[in-house]
Amino acid sequence: MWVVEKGATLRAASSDTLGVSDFRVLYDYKFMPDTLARDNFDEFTTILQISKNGLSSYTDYHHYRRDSISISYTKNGRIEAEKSNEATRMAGKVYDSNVFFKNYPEKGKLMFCGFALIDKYTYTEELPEFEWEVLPAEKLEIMGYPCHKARGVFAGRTWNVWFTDDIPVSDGPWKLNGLPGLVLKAEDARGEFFFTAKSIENIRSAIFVQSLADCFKSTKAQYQAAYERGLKSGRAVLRNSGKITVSGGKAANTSVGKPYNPIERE
Amino acid sequence: MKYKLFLILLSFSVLSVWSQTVLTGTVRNSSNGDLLSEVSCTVTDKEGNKMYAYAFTDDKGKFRLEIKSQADSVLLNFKSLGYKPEKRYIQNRSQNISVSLAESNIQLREVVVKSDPIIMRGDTITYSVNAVKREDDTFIGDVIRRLPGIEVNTSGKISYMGKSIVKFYIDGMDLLDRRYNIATNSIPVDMVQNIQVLENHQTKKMFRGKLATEDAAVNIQLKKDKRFRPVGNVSAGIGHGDQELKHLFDGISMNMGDNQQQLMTLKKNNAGTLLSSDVRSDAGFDKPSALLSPVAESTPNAVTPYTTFNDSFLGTYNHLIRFLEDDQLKVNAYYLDERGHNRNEDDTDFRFLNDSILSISRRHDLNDRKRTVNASLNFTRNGSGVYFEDNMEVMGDFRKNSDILQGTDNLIQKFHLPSFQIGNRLDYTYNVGQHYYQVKSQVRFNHLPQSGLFDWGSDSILIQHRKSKNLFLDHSFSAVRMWNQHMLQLDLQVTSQWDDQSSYLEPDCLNPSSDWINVVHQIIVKPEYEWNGKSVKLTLGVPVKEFILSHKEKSELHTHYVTVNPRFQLSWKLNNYWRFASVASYQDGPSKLNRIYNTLLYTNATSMVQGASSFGRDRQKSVTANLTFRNPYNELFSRWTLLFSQMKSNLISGYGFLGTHTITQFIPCNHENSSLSGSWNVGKLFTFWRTNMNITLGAGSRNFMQYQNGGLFERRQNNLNSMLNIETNPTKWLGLSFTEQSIGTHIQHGSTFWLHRFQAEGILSLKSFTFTTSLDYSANQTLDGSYKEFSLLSFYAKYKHNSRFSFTARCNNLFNQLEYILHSQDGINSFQEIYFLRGRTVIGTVTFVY
Repeated sequence: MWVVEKGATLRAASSDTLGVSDFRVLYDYKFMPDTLARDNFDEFTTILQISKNGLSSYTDYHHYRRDSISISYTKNGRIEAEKSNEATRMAGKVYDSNVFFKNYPEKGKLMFCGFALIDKYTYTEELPEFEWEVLPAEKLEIMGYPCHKARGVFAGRTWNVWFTDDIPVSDGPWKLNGLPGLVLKAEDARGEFFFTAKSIENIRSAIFVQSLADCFKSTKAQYQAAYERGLKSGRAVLRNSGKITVSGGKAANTSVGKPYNPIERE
Repeated sequence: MKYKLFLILLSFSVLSVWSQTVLTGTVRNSSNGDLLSEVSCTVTDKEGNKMYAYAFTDDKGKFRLEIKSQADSVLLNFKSLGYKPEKRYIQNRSQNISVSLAESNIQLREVVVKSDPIIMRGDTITYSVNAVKREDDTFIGDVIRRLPGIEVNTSGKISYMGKSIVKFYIDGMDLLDRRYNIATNSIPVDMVQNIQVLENHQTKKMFRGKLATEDAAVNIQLKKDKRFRPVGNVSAGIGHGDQELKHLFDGISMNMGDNQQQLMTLKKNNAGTLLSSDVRSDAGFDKPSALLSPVAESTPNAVTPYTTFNDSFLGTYNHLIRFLEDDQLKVNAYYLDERGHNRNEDDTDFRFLNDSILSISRRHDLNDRKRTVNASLNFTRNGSGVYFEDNMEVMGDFRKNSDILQGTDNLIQKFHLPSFQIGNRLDYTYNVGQHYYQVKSQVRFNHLPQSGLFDWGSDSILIQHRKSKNLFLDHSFSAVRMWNQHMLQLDLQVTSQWDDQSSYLEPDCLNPSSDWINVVHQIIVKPEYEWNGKSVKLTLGVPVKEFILSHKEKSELHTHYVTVNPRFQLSWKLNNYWRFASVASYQDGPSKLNRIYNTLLYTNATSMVQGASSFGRDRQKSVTANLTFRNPYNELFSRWTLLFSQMKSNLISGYGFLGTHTITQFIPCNHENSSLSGSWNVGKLFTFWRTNMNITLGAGSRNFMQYQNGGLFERRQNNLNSMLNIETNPTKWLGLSFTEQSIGTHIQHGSTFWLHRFQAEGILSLKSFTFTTSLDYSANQTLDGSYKEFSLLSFYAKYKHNSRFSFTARCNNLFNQLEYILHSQDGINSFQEIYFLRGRTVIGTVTFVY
């Protein structure tokens, strides 16, 4: 398969490419990692690649960059460890390598691939239903696109979103979907998670998926439990990984456990 | 009746309020009439401001919209990517509408506008220092030594997964080379943002992505506000212990930029921190071993920091300049002045063939002073097509020590142990197409004019003079070819070592003065093949080595042989849960025990060494295998390891005796050693209090021959070991750790004895205050079977006033334990060592950061 990048550069892509997107949207993703420190937010850029046929992929922008650079280094389905490192360096700091594929492996499904510290997991679920209620009275213009407001409930959080039917795709950042236009802005009612679109580009680019053979096939609940363990007891998880050996005798660390504020609360 | 009428009226009114318009219809492609699915259909007011309803067309192009608005007319929109949008103004009444959309290449209007604690990405593990540090950590080395997989030995050398790291970078630059302890023991924790462990690290840019390696490196990334300006840290402390005032001073100044790095340290203390460990390096240009030595320098880990009474000074200067992208020049220099005072007692029972025992008891009171000057200059070009490195180093070490011996022998011994070294190391690597060529050269010359004076009193004085001049040359050439999943490498290496030694005793009562030259040449041709499959990696190396050894004393001795040393390595990932790895190797070469000279030399007043009269040769085969299971769902990890090794040798070393003098002898004797050991490790993380538990159980057996005083002993040693470690964090501000280790040793025809060690540590963090307490308890079984117990308790408190000032108080050895006793056996002999320790010490420190 050939992948067309902006500037019409042709690159041979490996079998890790799911398809080609027709346009892409970059979002600022801002979130509160610790609900006890409510003034403290983390922030990074994410990318939503959308294809006309409904397939889309949402991930950290640097993660996408790393994958696209890595793919260019891949030969015979392999990439040397050092090249992979170089791709990481070139791509910039990756905050989060979770990827959400909508309408994959089939229409109406969502496939998730992501890390819980050292392991890759994947799970597939039905496209989430947010029970949207369009709020007719409220309108907002985002980047020149007129947007309608809607409110929906999913996984323990209420979401207020602004979508534009000028971009008629039922998609959005993260798992947001089901509205008659693209979600350009979203925030949860608790004020802990924010997605704000900052660019829309007509760039045809490859939608990558990591090799699923290395992933633990799990359920959403299993993944969330593993992720929580990685955050709260990362050192112990590494120690039990078998990839790393540790000598005993040193006290556990009180501050290593990170707070966990999941975007999906249930 | 009225009631019925009311109900009818009510139902009409409800119908009128909730009456809704239902719009249905189909959407087609205007050019070919195909039904279109996933077309967005929305209903808004006429201005397009209020959205009343939305729907998507189904697979048959049909849509259904229910409008709950009272508006007279509404706007109906049909939109789909790749089609021109359609608008219809319609009356708000139920109707069927058919729409055709025209294909269009209209593109979207573009708009372009303006962490986790541990991140594992690819081969890099990044630890955020804020997340992994503890409040009682002072220098960055304190954090590094606790990272998973990292081991830091007593000299400060960092290993990752059992292998020494190849580079230590500061912001990606290699300022300190192998003397990275200067950084780990001096850079304050608060200046560092991240610590990265770089796995599979290829130091040469040109090989990155091409040549696989299992080497690891560590990189520390400074905080942004600590770069591009002079920053530093000054700590000064004062305290009391061992009936004297204790002082300490630590100063560091650095200026780290993109193209220039500068680091200076100045340290002085008499509080037990040995500064020689800051500048120690275990590879390459390490200091040559002294020819004479008052005692064997080995201290048990449990008490290493407590055995020396010191007064140390160290100053270092390190400067790196990067010009162009790939070139850098660096200068490193240091001056060390360290005085140490140790006291210990050895009680040894030497056993002879007739079961008689020679008991020797010696008490040492040792004073040592080292003054070392070292400077090196390094130029490196690390380009994508060429690698060139040249490193020149000079060192002078002026060391003196004295020892007052009491017990079986009563005397004073004094040593004068200077050493001088100069060397150059060169590495040139370049590539032509798919081929890579590497030329390496190392030249080192050292000169050790050393002597020991042994004074038994009443004019009985003996002086042993020993001189050594050693020239070491190492040149190698490598060619590498890579294609697809295969790699073929051919190494050619020529190593030569010329060692000219002389000795004479004054007065000459043992042997006439002697002079000898040992020359060793080694030529290695090493082809290696590697195959990297999807789940299997295979490496096969078949080095062919030629050894030429010669010895020239009064007569000459030569030997020459060629050996083949195959090595096979397999790693196999069976699935996501199970992994298997195995290494099998055969090694054949000169014995590590080779000491070829015909004279009897004093190493100190009570022990001598007698060289062998012929060359020794060792042949060793070994196999290791391990199987690993890991289930990340329940965080259960388990590993089984099996290790077998067999060595045949024609040289054996052991003790002989001349009165109470021990003589280390090297005797030609064919013998065989073999060992088999296995271990099982299990780890489990519990969600309760974030508790992690690790258990290791091991057992081993070793058959070996031991030589002593003309007799040969055949022995078997069996041992068992166990370790249980529990780490737990009940709350955010409390961390606890417990470790129990037991080692049991049984020697055939000897005794069984056990060593137990229990360590506990707790840390409590409350806002600006941090308290740490640690207990190290040992119970060591001694010669008579009884247990000697020992408890070290330390306490630490820190108050952080602001980002610039902090205060600490430290109390070591709170129980004032002054002796540590360790019993060990080597097969036939029993050793009991008593180490005298520094007593209770209290030190207060103030630290200022700028």
